[in-house]
Amino acid sequence: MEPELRQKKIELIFSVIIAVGLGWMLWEARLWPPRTRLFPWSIGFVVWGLSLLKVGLSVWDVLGWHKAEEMVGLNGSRGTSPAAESSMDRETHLAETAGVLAEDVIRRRTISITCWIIVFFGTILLFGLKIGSLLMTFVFLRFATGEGWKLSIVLSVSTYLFFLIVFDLALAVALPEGLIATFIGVQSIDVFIVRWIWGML
Amino acid sequence: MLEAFISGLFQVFTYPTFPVMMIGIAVGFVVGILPGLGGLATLAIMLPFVFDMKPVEAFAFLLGMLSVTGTTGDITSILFGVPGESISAATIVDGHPMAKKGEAGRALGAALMSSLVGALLGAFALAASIPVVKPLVLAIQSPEFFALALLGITFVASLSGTSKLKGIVSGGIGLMLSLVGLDPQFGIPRYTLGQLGLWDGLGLVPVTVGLFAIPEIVDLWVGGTSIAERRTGTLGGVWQGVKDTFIHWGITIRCSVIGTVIGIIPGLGAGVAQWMAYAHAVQSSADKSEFGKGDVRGVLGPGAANNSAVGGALIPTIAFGVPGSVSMAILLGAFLIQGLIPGPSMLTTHLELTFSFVWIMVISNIITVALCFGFLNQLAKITYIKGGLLIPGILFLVFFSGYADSSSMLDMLITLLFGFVGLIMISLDWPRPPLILGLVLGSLVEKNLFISYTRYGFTFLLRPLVVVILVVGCGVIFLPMIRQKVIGRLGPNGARIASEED
Repeated sequence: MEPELRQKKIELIFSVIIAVGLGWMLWEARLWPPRTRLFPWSIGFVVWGLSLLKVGLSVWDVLGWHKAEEMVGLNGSRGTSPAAESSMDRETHLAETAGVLAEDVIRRRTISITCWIIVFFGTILLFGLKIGSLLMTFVFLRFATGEGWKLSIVLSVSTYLFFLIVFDLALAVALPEGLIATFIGVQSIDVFIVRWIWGML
Repeated sequence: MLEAFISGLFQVFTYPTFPVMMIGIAVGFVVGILPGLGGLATLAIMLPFVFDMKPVEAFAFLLGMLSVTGTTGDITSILFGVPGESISAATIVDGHPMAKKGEAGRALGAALMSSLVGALLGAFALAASIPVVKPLVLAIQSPEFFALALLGITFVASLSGTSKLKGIVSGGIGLMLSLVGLDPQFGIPRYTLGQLGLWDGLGLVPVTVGLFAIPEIVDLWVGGTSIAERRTGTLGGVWQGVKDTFIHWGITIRCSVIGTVIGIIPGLGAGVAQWMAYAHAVQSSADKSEFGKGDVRGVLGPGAANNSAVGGALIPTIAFGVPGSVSMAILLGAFLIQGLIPGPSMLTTHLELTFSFVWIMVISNIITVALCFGFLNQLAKITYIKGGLLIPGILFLVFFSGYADSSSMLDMLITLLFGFVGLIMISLDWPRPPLILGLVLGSLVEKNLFISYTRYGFTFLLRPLVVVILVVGCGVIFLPMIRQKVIGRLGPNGARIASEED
């Protein structure tokens, strides 16, 4: 599938998701008392109408692309939609700055960093922010960016100490401690390190 | 009055007031730079420290701290695309793209200088308004609030860039998202999905951080470079940024005024002011093509407004004991701790103290900006560090910012979800600022519409100030269209002249 057509189809799917989401919000409001639903409905129907118009335009765009394809045949050239231009802008911009990046490289890297972000979140959820920062900084630097052992360890310990000293000890911010700490019934996984540092101070 | 004004200045430079103010500035500096730690929370934490201080010392400490958080918050927004403070989120839109273009120094210079100008104008407004502020604040009631919030929403179209329909739908989604939480009238949960954590609504910080910071992290990884993808000879020129503040002096001054006026109105504050100032900067510029891609005017507007709003918010706090923002409500606590009653006595018996507030804001901002300029070039060098090394640190700060808003893992999840939404919006050319503006203004519109209708029926639309504000709103929508048509008729020469005028 051509990149431009794929872009238009993604745009259509996104527009449909928005229209469905807004439709659900309006539907949900039907059970509320009139005054509670007054504002959601008064702006919601307008926004929903506009989102349906966007869906219509996206459908038109996709169908129009197929028609233009048939009309133009082999030697024709088509104009591009702003969304496709934006996507191409991004690719061109990335290509300018990091050498020429193939489209599949961009896609692969986007998927990989998206997965990493989810893993970071999952680690915080399980181990808390401080231990999570220690673990994931090391894992990311060592295995995703291929940094050396020494630099990975130094930076991950530094990140951990930054959160521990600045936010936990100095500013007494209640950091998330993670599900594991809750499960084993301790205040935080690194509670002994914290006590030791407090003792030192 | 002049005597009190000068005496206020001398009070700031006495011992121990000045050292105490310096401590406040240092705390505000750090709090501003660190994402997730808001000036608001810090103000509340620091409140007990002022019990044993004299009034001028207490306010030198608290106000010195508060008035610099917005300034230093811009630094994090520009360098990492993560807002140091919630009131510096709008700076990301153009500030971070400038850093990516290798113009971090210029963006920082512009942000700091416009912040200083904004703070000075806010302080000046505070000093000048003391005799005349009463009728202004009393004239603003719920119908006027409603009209002002509507005026803010009219800026959505200006923030939409080339795709107006997408921008308006995006703003509409923001308005709908602002409805998440308990209904303000009857306490009925709306769109909370059975989650107790959503009863307070969607936090502005998690949504903003997700929408703006996570896509930047993805871009940083995909590009495989440093934040600054291109090197410029002199780190983008801090001085160029300073000069930009005065080259575009119209935007800087107008946005400072917007910040001050919005600051005066209780309940709005710098969080709203920054976005309205950004929208105004876009709307009032002839060439809008670079906004969102690293236009210095997009840094000057919010930079000036979020600082001038502090001075503006102090006006009703001092004059009537009506806090202009949440931070002012906390500051009101300091008044009570010090045995001061805001109101007429602050303008008569304690006039020297009131003027010392003006000087504290001026001096603390001058000191902060001077300190920042001392090591701006070193700060800007961060943008040349390999992206892969920065990603874990930035990512943890992003999640922490989302979490710290209400100490909830749900907010961290919201940050993640909006991060992916932001990513999709970028790749499909859906503008993100209108969504944030809708989210900021939605609850204000609803609350004030309800109160206005209950009190006055539909006649509230005929109140003089409401009519004036609505007419200005119509001007905001239609004037650019008219201008565009006029320029179109004048041809290329006319467009050039209009651009030069701008």
